[in-house]
Amino acid sequence: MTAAPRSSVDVRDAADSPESPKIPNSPKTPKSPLASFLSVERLAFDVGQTPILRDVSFGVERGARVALVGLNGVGKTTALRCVGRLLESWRGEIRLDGVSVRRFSRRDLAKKIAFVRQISGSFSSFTARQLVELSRLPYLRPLEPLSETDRAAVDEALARTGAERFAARTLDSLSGGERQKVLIAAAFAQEPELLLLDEPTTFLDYRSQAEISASISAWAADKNGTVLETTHDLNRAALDADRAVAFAQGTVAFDGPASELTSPSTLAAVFGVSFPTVPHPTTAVPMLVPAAAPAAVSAAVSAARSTSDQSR
Amino acid sequence: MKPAFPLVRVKTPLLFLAALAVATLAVFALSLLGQTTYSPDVWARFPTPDRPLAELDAAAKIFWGERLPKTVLAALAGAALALAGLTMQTLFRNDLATPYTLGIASGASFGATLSIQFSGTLAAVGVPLALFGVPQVVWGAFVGAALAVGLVLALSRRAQTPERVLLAGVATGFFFSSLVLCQQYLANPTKAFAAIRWTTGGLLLCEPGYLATTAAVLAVASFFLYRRSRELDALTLGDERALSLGVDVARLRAALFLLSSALVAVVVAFCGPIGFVGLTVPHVARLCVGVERRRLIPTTLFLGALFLAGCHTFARIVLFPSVLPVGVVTSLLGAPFFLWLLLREPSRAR
Repeated sequence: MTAAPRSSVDVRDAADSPESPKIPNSPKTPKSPLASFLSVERLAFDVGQTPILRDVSFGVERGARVALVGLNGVGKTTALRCVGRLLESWRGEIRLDGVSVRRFSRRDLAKKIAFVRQISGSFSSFTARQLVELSRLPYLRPLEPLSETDRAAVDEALARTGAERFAARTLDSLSGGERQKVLIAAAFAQEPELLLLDEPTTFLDYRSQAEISASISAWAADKNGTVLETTHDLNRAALDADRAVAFAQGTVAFDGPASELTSPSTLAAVFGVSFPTVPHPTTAVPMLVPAAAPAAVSAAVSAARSTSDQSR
Repeated sequence: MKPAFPLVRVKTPLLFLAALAVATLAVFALSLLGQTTYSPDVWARFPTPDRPLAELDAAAKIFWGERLPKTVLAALAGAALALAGLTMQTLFRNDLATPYTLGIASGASFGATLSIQFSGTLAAVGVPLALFGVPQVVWGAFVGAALAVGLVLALSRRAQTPERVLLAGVATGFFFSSLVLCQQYLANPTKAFAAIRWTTGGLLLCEPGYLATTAAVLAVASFFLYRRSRELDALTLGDERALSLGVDVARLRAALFLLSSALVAVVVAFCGPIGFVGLTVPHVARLCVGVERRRLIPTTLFLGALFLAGCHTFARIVLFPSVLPVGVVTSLLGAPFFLWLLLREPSRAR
């Protein structure tokens, strides 16, 4: 496997079609899905009779960090779980390096894809290190002790997220931010090629958010790793991700450079609302700021609705 | 949680051998106790082909023919029940899941009583008394246990919270207990009395096949679970984590389901339902060595064997000349522990 270009500029050039991709009802697959490292083609998934994903297609280049955004319940997490084969009954095709993920054994897939789920309430009394060591499972035969390589991978993963400070503590004694660092470290120790993150920084304080996001970017850069993450934090996505894919009505409503995610037209297309933005002081990427008064939001919602209705 | 007794930090294989030695010694020592307490020199007067049991002196005859087999059965049953408890706690991801609380023991009781009750009818239809060398009662208990586990599992799929799983288990248990009572009420007095004696959980009999069958099931289950200890660790952390670490969760769950049913069925069939071993022992084991299955499984087996062998001996001598059912002793000790556990930390740590 040749190394893909790492700079975000190259990645964008490779991944994006030049035209404005905001029209929801032209779900053509990206230029050459087979050339992508991860390609999702006409993915559809129903819960009971309710379609969650209708027709989702996008590609992710190796080494890219891609944010999945959209309203609550739009199917971001579902898509992530389909890619990781935590859900099985999806239709369409998901390929990794051109090979359908269905063709991998679970164990082989675990060597390629790591999944970090949204922070949940229940935690056991495993220590942080024990949890991270468990990530070596796909590489070990039953009862085989951890090798030097395994221990090195565990140590490196703990160091990457700064979790080695509390590695000996049990998970149920850690704060939310510390726990998330451990979970991310566990994903690193799995040495995947593709990292799936379900809202990795939601509910965390600003400092933890920044630290975790930085450790993910650093991992992706060092290992040529690919990251696909769901998030509600559009500002973070616009700054940290290379590309953003937005879902609406079960299809891809936006697929383009992350820095365009916060433009008023994208917001209107994806979220049905436009927020005031200010340019970021160093990168000039538009940053969302809260509307001053509730009345302004409802006005913005109705304004956006009418414009998006007209555009149809 | 951190091991409460960090002195247990020896390498696992060493721990294994030491535990086996201690357990063997304990079983031999406990068997010395009784109406007359023998001195350890009966150990040397063991039966051999040249010197069969019948020709030994009275002390050796009682020790080798009566006390030792029963104590060994108690130890094996204790280990099996404790392992079944641990397996169910993994399967249901709940500390309070045990053969008893989930109604599995009642299911097995139901199956066993049913096969005792209708042994005549079954023989008339041509069902053999033993299949693959395993007595009919064991098959009955196994089917009953599997039925109960299946019911609880099906119910728990719809009721995801641990509390509701437990409630489903309690309901299942009551249901099967009532069926057992119905049988006893309807049966003739002799059979009813036998069934009542049996459901209190005692080690009254130790037929030749009992030890071999229990040991075989225990060995298979222990080997499988120990081999999969890392996958079980992953499973306790959630189905999704286990899946994304490459564990075939559905297959593993099915295996756990089968093994826990088999373990409970064998014990219930031979010894009657014995409560609280599956609850208390894995928990104490966790306090000793932490949550990693690699250490937890051997420790659980060891402590389970010691606990039930001890309870059995206690039950034999405490109210001499009458013998207390061992299930009474384990419940007397286990119930307060259960309450303490329940009130201390409702549904934490596995």
